[in-house]
Amino acid sequence: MKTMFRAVAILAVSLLLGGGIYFVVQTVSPPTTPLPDAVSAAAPTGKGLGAGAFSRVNSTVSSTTQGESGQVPSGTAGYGGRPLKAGNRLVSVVLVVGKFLAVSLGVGALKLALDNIGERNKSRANQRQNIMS
Amino acid sequence: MSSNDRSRTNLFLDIVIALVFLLAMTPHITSIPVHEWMSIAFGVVVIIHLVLHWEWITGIGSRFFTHLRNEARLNFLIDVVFFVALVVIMVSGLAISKVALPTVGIKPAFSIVWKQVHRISAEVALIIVGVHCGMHLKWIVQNAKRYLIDSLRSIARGKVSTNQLSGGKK
Repeated sequence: MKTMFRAVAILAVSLLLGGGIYFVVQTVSPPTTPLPDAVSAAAPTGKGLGAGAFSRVNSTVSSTTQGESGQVPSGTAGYGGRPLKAGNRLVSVVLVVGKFLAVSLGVGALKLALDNIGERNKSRANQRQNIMS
Repeated sequence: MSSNDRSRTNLFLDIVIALVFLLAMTPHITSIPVHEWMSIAFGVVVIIHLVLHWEWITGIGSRFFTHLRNEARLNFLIDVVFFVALVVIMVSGLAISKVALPTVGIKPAFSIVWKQVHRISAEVALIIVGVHCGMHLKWIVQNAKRYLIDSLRSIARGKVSTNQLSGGKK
């Protein structure tokens, strides 16, 4: 019962926070407007950088990008658009795992070094106190 | 639950969380449907993780502005930022969902802003999860050695001894 209450409390906090974030971003971001039928019909469906983006948009697009069929934000290729090559996929995995390992090992090593310095200082202070007394 | 059992549960759950998080960070590999459903499952596992650490969260949270070690305060701050980043990832992910939400009949309109928010919050969360793991690296190494490496060694030894016994019987 206690565990259930805790889980519900965490979920409630997440939902409140999420709702607040959704409200803020929706208020700040430009409104999404549906594409005119003529534009969506003329959207490229074959090869090309814009093809994947238009197929994903599914006849609605942000007003900021209307009429900019050639400008697809970086990182969208391969994410629902053109599939990435095997080599590029490997690079993306290595980047994610590499970043995670570099940060965690770096912070871990730094913390270990700081802990050691702290311990050394503490033992020195103890020694001094013993000598003084 | 004894202290050893709790440490073991925490370790295995944390390994699962880390692996699922890293997999969810590579949608090029997993494909979008797997990425979306895995991320929703990840949210559930994170709630379990938070429930398991409830005493620590409430204990540190109640003493945050009074007497507390700086390390614990820093850990709490990192965890709060990580939690907020995860919520932002979830909300922005649902806002640009192509599989999970349409399955339940909701079709969100595509928005470049939500996509950018999703990408940036994911990058921030990856760095914060690295810092979080780095801050607990000593605990991770100690418990991984105790519950993973030592148990694997004992299993290997057991297999060797049973092999020797069965070989002897033959």
